[in-house]
Amino acid sequence: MKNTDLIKAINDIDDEYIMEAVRKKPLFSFNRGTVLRYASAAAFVLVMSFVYISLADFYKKGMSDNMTAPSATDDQSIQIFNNNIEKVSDSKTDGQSYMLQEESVSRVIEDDNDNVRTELYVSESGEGMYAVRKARLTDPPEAWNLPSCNEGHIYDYADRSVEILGNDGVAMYALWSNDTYSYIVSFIHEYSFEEALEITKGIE
Amino acid sequence: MEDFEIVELYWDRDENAIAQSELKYGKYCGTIARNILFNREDTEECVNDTWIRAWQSIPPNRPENLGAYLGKITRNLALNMYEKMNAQKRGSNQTRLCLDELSEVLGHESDVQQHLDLSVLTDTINRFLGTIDAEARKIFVRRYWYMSSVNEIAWRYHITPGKVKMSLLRTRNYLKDYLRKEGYEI
Repeated sequence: MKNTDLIKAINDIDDEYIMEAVRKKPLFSFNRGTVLRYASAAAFVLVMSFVYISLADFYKKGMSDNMTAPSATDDQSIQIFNNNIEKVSDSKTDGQSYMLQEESVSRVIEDDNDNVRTELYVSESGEGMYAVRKARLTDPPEAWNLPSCNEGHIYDYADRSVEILGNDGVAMYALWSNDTYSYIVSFIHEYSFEEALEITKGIE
Repeated sequence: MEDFEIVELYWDRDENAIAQSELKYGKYCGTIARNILFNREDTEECVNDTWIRAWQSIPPNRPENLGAYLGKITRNLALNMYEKMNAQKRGSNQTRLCLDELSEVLGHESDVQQHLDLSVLTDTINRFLGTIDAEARKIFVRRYWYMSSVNEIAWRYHITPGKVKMSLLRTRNYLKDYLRKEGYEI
């Protein structure tokens, strides 16, 4: 027997073994229990931080009241506080302007009789933001010719398990599937993984 | 288009079958051929030949999994092309490496002439693959069916290249023992 005989014999192994090796293993997988535990821990830390900051401010303010007479600083601090609020509002609005699908314009760039459909989402200024491709499940991921990535996360929400892949904190694409279709979102803008997840959540 | 619909086009002798196959599995087959040949022109030729072979073999065949069926044709054609290229001192190192690794399974007696029925050997390998765990099997198939590099497999399954090499070494040793037990002279 020669090594070429062996490699030729391997050619006709069962189809299921060939297709089994096609799918990539997700980098991280979070089930709902894990997400709940992390969310609870994060909420606890947030509440404790808020309590700590409030108490610190209360004592600080109390001490400064005792030391100096009320002056314009209060107004300034209120102004700064308002500015911060405005700033937060601005950033939130900015975020929503590209995050939410309904505030952007979509354009169908590929439509093949319900087998494959690709839509490009463009910002109000006409800039391409991300493209969503929907394909029948039988279209194997190998055929998508996706770029290589060094980072990936799995997010479970609603009835989806979304795999978001990218490089150095920048999301490149998101993948998920249901019983009939596979979906891929290709991000044109540089979005973080969290922003990419928000975009993905907004896609019907 | 669904696989069964494309297969129906082949059975109806509709040439759109080739266009649909190329649309759906062109890149997939291209990846398989490129892993073996590492040459753009040869890869294109191999993938084009795949559609012709599919046209000639469906009917009588009616593959349930068209992707795997076309992939097998591509791999077979690419290996034949590789053998020809190798005779002319061309070819990819990756395929050479895979063949060298499989030579370890065959040991020093690999030159012993033995009447070999490849389909029986395939059945034996299928049974063997059914006995090993899924991760080792995927790594083995990725390496010796898709001819993927160790680094690519490591990236794909999020493990270190060292772990891939160790898994392949163990699986080759298991395969060697298994083939011996099945009566192969190695």
